Amino acid sequence: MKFDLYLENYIKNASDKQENLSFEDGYVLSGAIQLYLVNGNNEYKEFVKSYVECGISNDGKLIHDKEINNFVLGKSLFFLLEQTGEEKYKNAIENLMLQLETIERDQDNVFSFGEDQLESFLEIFSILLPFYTEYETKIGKKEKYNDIIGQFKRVRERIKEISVSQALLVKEFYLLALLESYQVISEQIFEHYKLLEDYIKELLKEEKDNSIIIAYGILKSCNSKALLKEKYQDRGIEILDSQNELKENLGEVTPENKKMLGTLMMAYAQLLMLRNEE
Amino acid sequence: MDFKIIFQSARSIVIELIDAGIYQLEEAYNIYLDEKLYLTSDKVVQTIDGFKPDTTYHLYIEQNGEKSNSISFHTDKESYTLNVKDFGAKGDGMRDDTGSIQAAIYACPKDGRVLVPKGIYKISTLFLKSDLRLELAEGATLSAITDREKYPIFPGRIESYDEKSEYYLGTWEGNPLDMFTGIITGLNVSNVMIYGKGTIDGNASTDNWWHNPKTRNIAWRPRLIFMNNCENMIVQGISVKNSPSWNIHPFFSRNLKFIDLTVTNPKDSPNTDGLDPESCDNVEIVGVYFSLGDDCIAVKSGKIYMGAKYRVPSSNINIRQCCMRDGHGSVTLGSEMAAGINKLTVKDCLFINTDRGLRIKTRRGRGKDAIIDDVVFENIKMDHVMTPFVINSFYFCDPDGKTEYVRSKEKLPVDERTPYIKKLKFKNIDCKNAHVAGVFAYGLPEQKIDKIEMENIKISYADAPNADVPAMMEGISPYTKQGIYVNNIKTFEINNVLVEGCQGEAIIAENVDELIIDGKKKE
Repeated sequence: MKFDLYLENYIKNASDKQENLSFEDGYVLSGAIQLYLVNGNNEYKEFVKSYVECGISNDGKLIHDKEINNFVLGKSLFFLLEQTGEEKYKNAIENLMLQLETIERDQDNVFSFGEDQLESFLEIFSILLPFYTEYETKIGKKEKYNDIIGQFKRVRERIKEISVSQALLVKEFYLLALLESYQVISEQIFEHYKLLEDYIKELLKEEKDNSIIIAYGILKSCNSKALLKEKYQDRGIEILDSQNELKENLGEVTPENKKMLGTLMMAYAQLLMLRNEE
Repeated sequence: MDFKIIFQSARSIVIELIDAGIYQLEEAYNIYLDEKLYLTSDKVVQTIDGFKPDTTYHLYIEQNGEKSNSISFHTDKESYTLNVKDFGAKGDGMRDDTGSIQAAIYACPKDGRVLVPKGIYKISTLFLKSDLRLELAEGATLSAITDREKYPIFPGRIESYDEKSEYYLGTWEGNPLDMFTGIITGLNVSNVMIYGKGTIDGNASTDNWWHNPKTRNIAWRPRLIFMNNCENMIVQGISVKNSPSWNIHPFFSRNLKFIDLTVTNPKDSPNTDGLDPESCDNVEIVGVYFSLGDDCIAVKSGKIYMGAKYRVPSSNINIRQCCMRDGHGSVTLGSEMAAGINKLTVKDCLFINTDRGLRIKTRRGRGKDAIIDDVVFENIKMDHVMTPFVINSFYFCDPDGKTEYVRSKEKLPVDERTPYIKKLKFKNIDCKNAHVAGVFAYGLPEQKIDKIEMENIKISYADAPNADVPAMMEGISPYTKQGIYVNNIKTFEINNVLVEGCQGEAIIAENVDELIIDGKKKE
């Protein structure tokens, strides 16, 4: 309950929004959207709206043209377009897609962001691929699904080669990319839908480390039926419970703990969704 | 004039005239039962009913004073009749009679009959059980409720606890997706007969099931009759109409007969295919009349995932004495055919006012098991069929059809995604009033169609043809009165093929390895 109050207070008084969005902001936005979808609290929607309006103009132009961080807004733009129907969000989505089309590719035809570290590459990949998938599903007629799935396949191969010390963080980013893309890919292109599902299951079943993102992945997959609720939800809840102390003592929101807050919000939303189902 | 009995039950038989014509005769004939005139008909396949169980009858037919041989037959035994009204059904068109009829179905013993007498029975889903005889009497209508909240859902798949297998229940356009249960649903049942002169009315319209038809609303739309993993199933005599989606959909089922049915839906109704056997074996479709908004018969075997996973093709499909009217395709193969289709025969049929006669729809990506082989069309009359023969290896409809991989006319590598069309044979076919083209056959450059053989075919054109594209593929524009166009075929052999009144050349063959016309090889 303390966490609920903390969140309410944060959402009402958030003053850390700024034009220069960071990847950490993406977690908070995703958490707010998911909580809104569970509890219908308008304040979460308004929070997302005010946040997004820091990043786009009234006619949907991206304030920081060509900034890779713009993709943090992707999920929120689709959410707000569906909620409000306002043209500026549609325009911003199209502008973001234009930006995506200019991103370079490497020799494997995977997006290349100029990042040498797999960890840094995957952080960007994890926000870009879900936007790309959602665009193709809702606007692009699914023509680029082969490209999207191809990138997931090739990145999976790269992850297999990483050292143990890097493993968790890298896998977490890849998992987020999978989870958010799986949520928006069309089930009608079933072989692609199922492949993402298989990759999610493989990763979650193999992963022995515990983290909030792993908990989020398990709970979200139980909700989407990618994982058997009966077999897996307890582990997800246990991991989340183990973070209680952290949850109850977040303190002031800073750039350093914003990712923590966002992922807690996301996982908490999935937990509430599971409970609502019961 | 001679006939044979092709179906017999305790209450009815179906006769089929031998060598008497296609579907409907120009002159009626009389049917005599025990020496008394019982019925007059002009249909080649005719139901005769009103019999008592376990009784011997004598039958002959007569036309213009010419009598057939008399045939004696003994109707099947029947144990009990369970009248649904005794189970509480009202048949007043108001009360929801689902529970009452379902109770009668579950109470029915082997060799018993569930009788639905005259009346309008509001239902949602009725689940069949094994060894059931369900009779819809003349004037009886099972009238479907259109409130989707009243329908159960079949999940597309349910994972086993050990996570090693999946149980598939629902399906939509070749994928295991959640669907509302069919208005009549058979699941893992055998030895079922649905027969009579009654009707199943899906009551679909643009106010309900056909509103936003391409969007999933809670679950995908129900079929009117859905059979999942069933065998020895017979549907005979009844009419089905206004289906929410495909009318009759047998799925992974075996030994099926569909006899003397009437399947009608409005011309503009969405996805209202008539009868779509999907991954089924040994299917007989005889004397069925179709008039609807999509393909009359579409033989399928899963889109990609189900086809590749289970590799169950549709095999041994025998279609004869049917009339296909107003649909997109008269007999279609695909487009979901990832496990292949083979041994398909279409004989003695009428195709009227459909967009295409034979329609093969496939594309790259369907997979290496997507093999079409041993397809024979024989003794068919077509009238106002826009393009009588269409074989399209670049079919672009569906959400994933408009990709460069699908549309490319370049020779791509043959791999696990490449479909294959083998042998097709067309014989004794008269196509009057074609509009767009006589034949449009386009194989893949990297996996050419093995062989198309055409014999005794006549194609003529409508005086005022409507322009359209011959096939749903990218890169072609609407046109009229084209002759025969074939591309990417190993052997194209035509004997006694007459194309009358086309614009331009009668035959254009491109990338054909062996072209044989009237027995002579052309260079």
